[in-house]
Amino acid sequence: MRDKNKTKLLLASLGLLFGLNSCVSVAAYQKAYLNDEAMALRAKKLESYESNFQSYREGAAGANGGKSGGGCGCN
Amino acid sequence: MQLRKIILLATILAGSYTLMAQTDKNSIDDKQNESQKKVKKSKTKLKDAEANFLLNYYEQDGDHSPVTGGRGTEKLENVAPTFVVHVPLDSVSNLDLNFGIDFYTSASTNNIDYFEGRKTGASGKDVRSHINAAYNRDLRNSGNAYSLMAGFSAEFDVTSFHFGGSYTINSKDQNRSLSLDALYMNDSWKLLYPYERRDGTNWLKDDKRTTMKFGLSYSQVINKRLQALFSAEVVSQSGLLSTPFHRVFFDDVNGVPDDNLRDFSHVEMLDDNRLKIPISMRLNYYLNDFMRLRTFYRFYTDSWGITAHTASIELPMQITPSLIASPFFRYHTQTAADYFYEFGQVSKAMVDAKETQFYTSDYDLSDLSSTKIGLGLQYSPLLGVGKFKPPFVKNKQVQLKSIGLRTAFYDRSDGLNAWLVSLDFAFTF
Repeated sequence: MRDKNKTKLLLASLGLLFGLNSCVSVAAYQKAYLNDEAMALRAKKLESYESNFQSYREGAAGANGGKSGGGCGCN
Repeated sequence: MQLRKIILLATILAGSYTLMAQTDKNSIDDKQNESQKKVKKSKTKLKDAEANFLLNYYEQDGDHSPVTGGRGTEKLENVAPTFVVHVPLDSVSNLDLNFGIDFYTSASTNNIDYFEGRKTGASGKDVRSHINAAYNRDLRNSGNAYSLMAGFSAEFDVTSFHFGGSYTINSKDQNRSLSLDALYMNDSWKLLYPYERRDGTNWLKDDKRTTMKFGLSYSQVINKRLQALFSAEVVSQSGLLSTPFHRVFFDDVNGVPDDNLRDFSHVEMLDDNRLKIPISMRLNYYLNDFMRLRTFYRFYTDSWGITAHTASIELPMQITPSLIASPFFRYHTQTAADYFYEFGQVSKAMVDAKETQFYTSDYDLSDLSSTKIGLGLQYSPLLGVGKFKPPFVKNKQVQLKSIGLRTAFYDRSDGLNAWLVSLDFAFTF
């Protein structure tokens, strides 16, 4: 029960975070900041190694196949 | 306590977003002009092919290896070179190729034969090779895009293949996009049991694992400086989810000398079905011309009883026009899987009474928290780092566009720690 409340609290905090910023329409020529390489909404190529070992060393991971070797997979 | 850390992190982020960055107006105009030029240019010229050579070194040490029942060395080193190639096929389609090899030595994998001569050195060696290809195409009429991908990997006891695809719907103003994706993975295992359990018994009924993933992600431009990505996945796994050479010791080992443990080991037993649901959010903010803010949060739950929260923050800083330094921090916390037992904790009576059918002493599935801290460096001069002519190819020049470096230290609450360093050499040709 406590865990559920914690989750709700956390989601509410993040919701509030978004609520602070309403969406506006941004034209292509106004996207100089958003097109900056550091603003990309994806992990960087070099992060793939970290995602890989974390998916093994932490039971909670996304769509990795699970323990299937690959460097640090099974030990 | 753990939640407090996450809330503190979220509060710091909220504070950061409300700061109005001081920015030079001319700088904004310049960037907008550049952006307009890029939009015009992209319609007329086919982009260069790109290739990245990535190299990673990883090492870890700990004292809770599941190969020896939840206690014993986890020392491991891994070197992983990878090539990533991006080839534009025409103005609307491109091909991504990714292939590499992992070379690793693992003390615990070497302990699969622990009771045969008590090997303990870090001499377990193996390689894993992998290849992945993706075809991506923009649909000019609708502005949408799709992607198809497939891959294969092989090592001494596991071969895997996977295929999948995604479809992305973009809004006309390119401020929103919705992406749907699906992935199928199949792993085939050679069932290698602990040395002392190789008596011809089929301890595990399956030697194959299938994984199916369905994902949904939605990205939204919030304003000129802020954009977000929400993702949700449903991952279903079935078949062999145990690792055949992981040992578990029941409570009958209490008082038994280590030399006599061979008669008391059991093969790890895990549920052959697992449903995972991760939900994540990325939020990136352009604070000012010097600093950007990259944030990530993920909530995770699964049918094995694990619930987890992960948050990370990265601050890319423009040190010079060519150099970006990016310090980062990540925090993760998770509850234990229902089937996790420490060394000598699960009892035969519990199993006989069907109080539990499954058991593991794999600390990756235990109640834990972890922190990761590190630094990334990106050196990318406007005209590239250098140019050279490749051998065997006439009238072609290759440009080393940028060099990246990333290093991180990882510390897990059960004492496991890891360190890694990665390099990225980006070429265009």
